[in-house]
Amino acid sequence: MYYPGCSVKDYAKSYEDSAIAVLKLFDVELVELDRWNCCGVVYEYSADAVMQHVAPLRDLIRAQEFMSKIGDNRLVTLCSMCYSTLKKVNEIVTSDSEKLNNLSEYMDDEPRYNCGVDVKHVLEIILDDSIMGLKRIKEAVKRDLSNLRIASFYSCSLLRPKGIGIDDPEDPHIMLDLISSLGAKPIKFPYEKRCCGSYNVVYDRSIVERTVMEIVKAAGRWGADMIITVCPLCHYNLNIVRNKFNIPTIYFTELMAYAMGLDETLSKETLSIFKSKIGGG
Amino acid sequence: MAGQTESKKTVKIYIMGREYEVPAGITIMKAVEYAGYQYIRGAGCRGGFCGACATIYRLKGDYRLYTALACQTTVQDGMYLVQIPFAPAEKVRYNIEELKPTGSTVLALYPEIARCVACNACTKACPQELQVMDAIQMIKRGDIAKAAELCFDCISCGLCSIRCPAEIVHYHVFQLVRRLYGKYIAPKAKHLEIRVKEVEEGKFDMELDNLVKMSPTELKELYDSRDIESPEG
Amino acid sequence: MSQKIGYPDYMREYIKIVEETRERRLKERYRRLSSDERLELLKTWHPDYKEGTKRPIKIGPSAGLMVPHEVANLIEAYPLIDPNDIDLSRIDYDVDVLIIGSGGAGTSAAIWANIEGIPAENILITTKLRFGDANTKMAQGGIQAADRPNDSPARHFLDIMGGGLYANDPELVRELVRDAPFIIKWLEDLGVIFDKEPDGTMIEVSGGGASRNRMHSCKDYTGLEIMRVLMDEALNRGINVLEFSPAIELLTDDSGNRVTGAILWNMETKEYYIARAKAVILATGGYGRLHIQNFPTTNHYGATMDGVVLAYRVGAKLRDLDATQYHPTGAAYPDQILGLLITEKVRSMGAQLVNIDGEQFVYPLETRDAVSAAIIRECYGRNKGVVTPTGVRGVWLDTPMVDIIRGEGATKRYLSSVYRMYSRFGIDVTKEPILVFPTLHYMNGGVCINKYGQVLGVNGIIEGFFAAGEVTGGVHGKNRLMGNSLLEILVYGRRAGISAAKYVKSGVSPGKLTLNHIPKYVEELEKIGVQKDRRAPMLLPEYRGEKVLSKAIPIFPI
Repeated sequence: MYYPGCSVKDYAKSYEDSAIAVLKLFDVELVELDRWNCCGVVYEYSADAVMQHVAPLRDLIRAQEFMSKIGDNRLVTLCSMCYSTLKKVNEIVTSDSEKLNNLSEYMDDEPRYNCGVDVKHVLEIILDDSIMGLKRIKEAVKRDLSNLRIASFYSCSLLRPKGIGIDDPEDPHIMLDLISSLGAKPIKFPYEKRCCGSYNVVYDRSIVERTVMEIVKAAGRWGADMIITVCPLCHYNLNIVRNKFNIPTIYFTELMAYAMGLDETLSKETLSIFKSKIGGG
Repeated sequence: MAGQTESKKTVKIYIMGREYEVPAGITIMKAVEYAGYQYIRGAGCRGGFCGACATIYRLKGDYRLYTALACQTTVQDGMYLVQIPFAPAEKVRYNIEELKPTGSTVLALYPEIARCVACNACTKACPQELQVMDAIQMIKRGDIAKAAELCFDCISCGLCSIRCPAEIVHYHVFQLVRRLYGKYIAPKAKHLEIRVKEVEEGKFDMELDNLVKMSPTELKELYDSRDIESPEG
Repeated sequence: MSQKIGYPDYMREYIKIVEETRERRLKERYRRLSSDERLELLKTWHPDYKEGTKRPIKIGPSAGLMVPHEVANLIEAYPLIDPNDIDLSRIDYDVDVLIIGSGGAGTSAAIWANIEGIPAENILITTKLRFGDANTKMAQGGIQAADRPNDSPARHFLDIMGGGLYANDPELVRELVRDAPFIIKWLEDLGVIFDKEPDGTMIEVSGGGASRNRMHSCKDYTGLEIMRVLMDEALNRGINVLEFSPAIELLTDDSGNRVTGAILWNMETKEYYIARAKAVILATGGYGRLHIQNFPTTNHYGATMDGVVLAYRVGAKLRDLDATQYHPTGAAYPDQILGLLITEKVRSMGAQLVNIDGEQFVYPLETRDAVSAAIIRECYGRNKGVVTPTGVRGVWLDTPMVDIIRGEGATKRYLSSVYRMYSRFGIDVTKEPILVFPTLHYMNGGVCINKYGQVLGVNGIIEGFFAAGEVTGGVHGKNRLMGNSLLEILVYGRRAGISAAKYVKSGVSPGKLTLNHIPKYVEELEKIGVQKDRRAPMLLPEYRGEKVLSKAIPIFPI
């Protein structure tokens, strides 16, 4: 089952296109939920402990209903914020039945959630040796990216909190492993775990501008040609200063698609980024 | 032929708390009138199309707050009801010619839709049984076409907007969404454009002028002999 | 939480008969009536021809015109106001164009007056109920325009004239059919969502009396979709709307042949306003709520013919008010929705009319007058109707045929309001037929206008006075075809709006405000001995319970 999330359908369409194409190459099919709503991440920041969990629980219930149709209980997300929100609420209601009871009161006619959905970030699928795995990814690479130096930018929600995040929050490595497997040069830089400024971009753009300035500048200092990310919001924020340092930020799935020669799924803009960085390709 | 045979059975309803005994089996609207109220607000088309008679009610022994259209709902014994005379809401002014059919257009004009927590209160309140919350969610993810489809049967009664904890004015948002779809996304009718041009060029004027001059007898002859297309096309 | 009653057992037994004949009927095409057969049917069974239901108007510019008693009672009625109580020097609203009525005709008039150059702040729409509360919203089936290659405005013209029994004003019909494609295009550009094929081709169905499939629709919410887009556009343009403030009298200048404004009545605060205007557009709609011959109606709450009453007092001629449209398919069961409209589109999409024996008795897409007469004949002449628990007679409209002919899901997609209305009462129209009987639907006649939307009196046009929509007569003759009322309100709303704007821009100054026409009219009423308590316009119908009314007394003097 596939939960796209709002930004992936609108702003971050290129994330979805490239991810679906790459997974298809490995015979992994994402089946989109027939009904879903916002994951509720916006309300993570609200003070109301009930309201903030209503939206994600409704999504989990809809996934539960959809599950029986396709016979697979894994719910895959692309956006790391959706992942984090859904995963967290899934853990909460699974471990705390009283909380689930309270929330169910607000679910009116929806069926009760029986905690059987398994929330996954797409990177977990990609790195799982029984599904895809780095070895097979390496084999699927068609382009030589050895001259390309790529910094990985982990979004907060992919790493934190511990237990929800899918990598070591202090010393993450999965993105670097992926870059190496694709044949490019991974750049580990000190700002890879920094917060991009997140939703502050809506309220006070200057806060975000300051933060991303430091991040992208640092990536440049450590020699990166480009940055890859898993999060549409990080993508948006980091790209605010892309021109200033000539360091664009793209989705990791776009890098994979490019490495594997799936050019038709990439936007003209993304292709031209690659061209400018490695010339021709 | 109006045929309102009054059944002997009656039910007790509470109009704004005041008890009235009214015939069973009639609509809330007719019951309110039977009780002696003359509507100024609260009655419009009386046929389920205009949303003027939005009603909220509770039943004895049931904590739920129900919504209904007074003209389309039968009274029940022990109904505590009130009609909502007006839903306060600001319609944003815009020039449709200057807009782009995207989710961000709608967000810019009605930013409060970002506050949707997917609580589904709107869907639950809708007397048309529309998937109101899903329509809002479609806008958030930029799917104007799907949003327009989901909200097409909206009659602007305002019940969703009154229940919404995010204070969204759904029916105004939906009006904008439908116009964006109809104007920019729906494919244009080419045959229509051709015909408009033909009319402007005067292609049919002579034939029409002749018909205007004809006597009823001449017209009748033409009418009776005209061929009729099958309804199946 | 509404109570889903469904059909009682004995009606279910009758439904079985309909089901038994359905397969055979799917292949059966009932013979059409010839013109002579239609006339014969009308004369015997149409309510318009029923004896003792009409009388000639005794006074005014159209004295002698036969109209239903319910209409005559309002025309021969005293004004609501005494001119001595009104201070005409205190002007509350001073505008270029005053539009009375906010349905499709009034609202499109306002938009076009604005397009034609009258600033929005100089346009005022005043309306009895809320903005847009009008029959326009309730029009379900569609809007006609000859825009397919096998069709032409001339064909459309001929269908209208024949449908109207050749009593129509041919000049008005000519402009109607000629403007029709343009109007559809205008709506499309405004963002009205029409039913279309994936390539943009309009999905067009047939209608009673139409020789080509030219009904454009927006599911079965066509009028609602058009009306809400017009409202949105008018509000975007900043046009002011005064709600719950019907006009209760027009104002004229000294000459008596120019309308200069109106007296408006705030129904909530019970005060009057004086509105002065260089041009007045009357768009108040029709008369369903008069319940002519006690018929239930499809019309909205405010359809009480106020505009005809006001216009007649200032000298407007009337026509064709002897002809009332009864829509063939009003709901006959359940009682909660008695008389509400079941759109003709149900028949356009294949549903047949069937009697108690499960047999057809009329071609389903004859003109409305003929189908209504045939249903009445079936119920009362041949006793082949089904009687409901409350004693209402009706015939079956075999709605499950729609999905059989057009494919599963067609009803829910294109007739969602019919589907919804019945499912509220536990009836699934895709599985069970519904019981129908004619219901009062439309005022075929009305105020006389010319093709510019100018109102006509005995001596030609009345200055500064325009009208559009159901309040007018002439376009439809004695019987309107489906899909021509939505067209008419937009064609003539636009024309009235443009004409009013041109009139204002020609440099007229605001006229003097008088109520001189009132004493003259009152004098005539007294001469024919009209009882003093008969007053008009009606504004709202009286539906309060008899028990209440018998004890209601006015203890607060107005």
